[in-house]
Amino acid sequence: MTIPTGGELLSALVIGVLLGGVFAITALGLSLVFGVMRLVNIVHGEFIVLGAYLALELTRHAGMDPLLTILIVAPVLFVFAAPLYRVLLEPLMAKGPEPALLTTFALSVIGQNLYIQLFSGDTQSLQASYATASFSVGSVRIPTMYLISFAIALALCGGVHLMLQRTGLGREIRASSEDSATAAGLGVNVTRVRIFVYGLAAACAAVGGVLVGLTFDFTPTSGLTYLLTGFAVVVLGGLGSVKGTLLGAILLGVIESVGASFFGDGYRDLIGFAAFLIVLSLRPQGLFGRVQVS
Amino acid sequence: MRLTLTRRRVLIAVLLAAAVIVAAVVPGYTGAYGLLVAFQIVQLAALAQAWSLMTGYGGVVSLAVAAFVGVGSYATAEIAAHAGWGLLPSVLAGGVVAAVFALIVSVPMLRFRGLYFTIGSLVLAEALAIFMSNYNGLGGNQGVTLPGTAPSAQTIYLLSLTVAVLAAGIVAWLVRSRLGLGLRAIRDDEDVAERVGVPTFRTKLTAFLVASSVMGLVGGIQAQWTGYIEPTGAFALDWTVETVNAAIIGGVGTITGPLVGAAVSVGLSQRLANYPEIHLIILGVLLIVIIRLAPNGLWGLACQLFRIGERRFATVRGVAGVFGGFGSVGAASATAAGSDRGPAGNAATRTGSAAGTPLLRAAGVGKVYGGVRAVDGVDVELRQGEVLGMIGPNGAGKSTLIGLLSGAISGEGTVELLGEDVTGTGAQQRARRGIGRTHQVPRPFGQMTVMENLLVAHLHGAKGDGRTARAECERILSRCGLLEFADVRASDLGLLRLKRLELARALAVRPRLLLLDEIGAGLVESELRELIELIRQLRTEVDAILIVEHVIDVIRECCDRLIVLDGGKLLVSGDPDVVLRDPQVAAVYLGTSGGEAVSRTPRRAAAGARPLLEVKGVAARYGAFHALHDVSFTVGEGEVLALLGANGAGKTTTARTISGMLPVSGGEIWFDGQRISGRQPHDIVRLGVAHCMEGRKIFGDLTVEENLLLGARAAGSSREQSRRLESVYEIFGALRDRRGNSGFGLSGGQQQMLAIGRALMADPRLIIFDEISLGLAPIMVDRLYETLTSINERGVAMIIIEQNVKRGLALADHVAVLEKGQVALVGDPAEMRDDDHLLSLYIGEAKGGDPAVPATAHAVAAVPAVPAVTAPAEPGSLE
Repeated sequence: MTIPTGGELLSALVIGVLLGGVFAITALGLSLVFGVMRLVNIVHGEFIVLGAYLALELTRHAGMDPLLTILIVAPVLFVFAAPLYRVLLEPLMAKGPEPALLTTFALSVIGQNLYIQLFSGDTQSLQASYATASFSVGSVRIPTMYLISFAIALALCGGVHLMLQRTGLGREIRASSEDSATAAGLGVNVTRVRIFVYGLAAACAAVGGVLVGLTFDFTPTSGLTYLLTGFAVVVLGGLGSVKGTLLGAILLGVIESVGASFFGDGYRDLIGFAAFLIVLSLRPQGLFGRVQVS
Repeated sequence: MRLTLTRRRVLIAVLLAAAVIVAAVVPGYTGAYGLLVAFQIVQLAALAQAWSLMTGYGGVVSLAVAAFVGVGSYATAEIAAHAGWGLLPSVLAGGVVAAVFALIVSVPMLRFRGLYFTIGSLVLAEALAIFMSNYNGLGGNQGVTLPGTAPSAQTIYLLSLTVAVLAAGIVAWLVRSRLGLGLRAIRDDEDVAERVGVPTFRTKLTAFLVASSVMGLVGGIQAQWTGYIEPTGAFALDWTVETVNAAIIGGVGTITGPLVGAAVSVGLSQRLANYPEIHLIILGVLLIVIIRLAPNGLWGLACQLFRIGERRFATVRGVAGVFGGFGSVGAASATAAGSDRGPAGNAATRTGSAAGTPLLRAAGVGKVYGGVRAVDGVDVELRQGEVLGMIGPNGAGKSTLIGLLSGAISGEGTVELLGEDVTGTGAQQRARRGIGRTHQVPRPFGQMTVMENLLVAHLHGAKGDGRTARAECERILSRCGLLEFADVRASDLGLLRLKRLELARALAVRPRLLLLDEIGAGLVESELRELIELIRQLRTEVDAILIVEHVIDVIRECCDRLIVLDGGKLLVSGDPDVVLRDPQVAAVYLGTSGGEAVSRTPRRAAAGARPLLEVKGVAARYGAFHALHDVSFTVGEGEVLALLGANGAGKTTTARTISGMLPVSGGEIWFDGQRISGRQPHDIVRLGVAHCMEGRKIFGDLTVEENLLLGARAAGSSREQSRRLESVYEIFGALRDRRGNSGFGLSGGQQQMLAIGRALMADPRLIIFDEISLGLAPIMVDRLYETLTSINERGVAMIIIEQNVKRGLALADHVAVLEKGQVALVGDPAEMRDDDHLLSLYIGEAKGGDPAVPATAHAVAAVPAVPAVTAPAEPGSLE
């Protein structure tokens, strides 16, 4: 363990905040699905990775700019995941939390191994000029990609938040997540709401995947890390709150970066998880969340 | 039936024993490959068994298998490598270290509930894996090699087999024990498990430790087998994946299931040994298919198909014949074995109980939720030999106070029980020291049978003796009229019996003090009489009773003393008759006693006009239970129909079939010339039918205005929505004042207003009001019914479902009375008032006079059993 200098610490802080952007996007879908359907969507990580692989194929075969692929990849994931939910998961939702959870677990296993078969186990990443560029603000060196991700994260979270708070659909989503039976009695088509939310979550995951591919790299099994990071964000930020997800992600980013400056980069993820476990044991409802009835 | 079960069990036991012997001997003769396969099966079986303990019985899905296997294998390897221990000691050490590790992580982990535990377990496993990959001690990435001559594969195999057999045996023993019952109770409802005395943390910890030690042993054995370990393999997620697969595919919740799953899983992986990814993909697909089609696993499927009676799958239904509810109390107590209490006769005097010593003393207790003082500095005593009543308007803090007294809630002030300060102790401790309580809304252990519900309470809360426990619980069940249902799963019972189960379970902890929370709600006259009788008899069995009630009759007849809560504070206390006449109490609570404030002249629909709603021969069921048989009635344009009937007759079920929440299994429903039966709720709402559901069901998370807007989904333009919003605010000014408040902050009465307003937002032509008066103070109900009248004057037709017959009759144009899922009577309110048949449905014997108000009661010595309910009432029709 080393004690970082003031400059290093400041750098870690700034980087951490920006990193929070990526975390927020990768966690948003998880938070939505958990909040609305009480479903721990273990295959979420695989949606992220799928987004990255699709973007890779598009850049390779169609020469598209990676960021632009978002416009294609997100709708594709939506169209893919929504029926998946409808066919495999929705019928199980009434039977308690475990069957659907374990099904997503199985899907996750299938996904990872499918990727190995289709894309090989090699580490990949998305190439772009801005992906490796960086600039300086004072003594702090900031990778351009981090800033781009943060901006996209703000936009995405803002959009989802507005949708939830200001639109009729958002109202229905919030009502369904609180009491689906009553919502149905009022005429809300709860099944359709859930399908939509699941598709939306997958689309967000896909966006996250593209950003991950640009900012870092990925393998068929990278999904797990982002799944767990997503959980950490959800726990830190509280359930069912877009604002909370963003704040929690930033917090996690900062904790990880600062921690890495002390313990080295290999322990980055570990620090995040440790923070997660500690917060969860002290405050099971998350830092910003309301008390959750289990 | 029981005998056959035992014979079958013995058969299975013999088969398993034979299998073990075969498994021990045969692989020695099949060569290295056969031994390998057998080894893998046995290892996986042990893991699946351990996992099953946590999931099948404890109900928590753990995804941390790899963590404990890894810890075990590292411990064994290190000890073998550096301390030179042999096979058995090093493996045992692995198990012990895994258990110690489990103990350490249990401190945070066991605080998580449900899904959070699953997430936490996954994070833990992954964190550990990353740590071990980066950590340079313990051999780092190079791993650890076990030294010296390895023990023979055969020996290791036999050790593994032993572990697997032991694991199965321990799990089998545990789940039939007191601990197993506690574990299942925790699974169903952890809070309530505490309240019946289950030491929840200790129970969960025990299961956790047992499961982790087994996993550690398996890891240790694996290390010895391969002779070498390194971090990636030792902590690989594959361990978790394979274990979960094996357990689910085979079937959790039985002893044989995991074994079957392990065999299938290993068999599959051997077949596909050259295509490791495909193997996992196929396993994943298999898992999805099994979860969907055979949730109890392959073994579970086999059990169902071949009627093998491994107890988990047998659903023994009690004989649900005609029986007399609480009425059987009289007979039962005379023959109750082991009861040394006298008959109830001498307990009915109200004054005269010796000035008892305070058994429960609360001083200055209070509770603040958010900014609201739910209970504010209350001093209350419960004395030896007394029945204390507690009344108060909705939101007065009665249930919160019960929570504070029983330990379910912690707050300010001090609580003394039997002379000891228990302020800091929780519900579990207080249950063990003698507090039994019921819940306002029944909270049974749904997946367990009625008998098991009591056994949990008795074995834990009363520290009962295993041998006499069953007999004791049977006595209590018989007392409460539930003996026939002893083997029925609690989740299959209807509201009325669930309330009795609450009481029976509270009695099973052998309480000295009994706290009853609104146990009279939802009962009709005859049932109330039986309840009153039961409470009288209980006086001789428990030292003191505290009753929270809205039903004044129960208070008048049973209580020695009465206290009144209002706004969290103690208002008045004293003799019930005196208190009930106190003008302060009248002002805040009693209002008019029922229905006199509202009167209207019945409306007659134009002759020959087509009815707005036609219910024709409707039948409906919940699973195998037929709730409605042949219900027919009509509602004309703008008319008010009162739908009456005893609890369990089918009123709420009928409402649900009309609004589309429950499909009809026979007959049809027509609305405004269109068939609505078989359509989705959202379609039916759009056609003009609104349903104001039992229990209000507003969305706490949304604001008042958002709740209302949800009701106007079909309105189309936002201008139309605003128009409707305005018209609702006109009716309910209080809602306009609070339009931006969240639903959580409203009082019961305001919530009911919101529920009605929300129904109005759909601009309906027909509204169904289901029990809007439940849980509200009479004065509030008066106001609501006035509102209903004015709504009806605008031309909206209504179906009013009411327990209080008098209120229902006062407002109605027509009346339909349901009995056992059919319409027993139809007619005009004026006719109904004097109809003998109607009377008998409610008060048991045909008597003259006002049938509706359960008014001044004459002490009835023995109430004849009324066959009012022959089948469980509508499930889900809870307050």
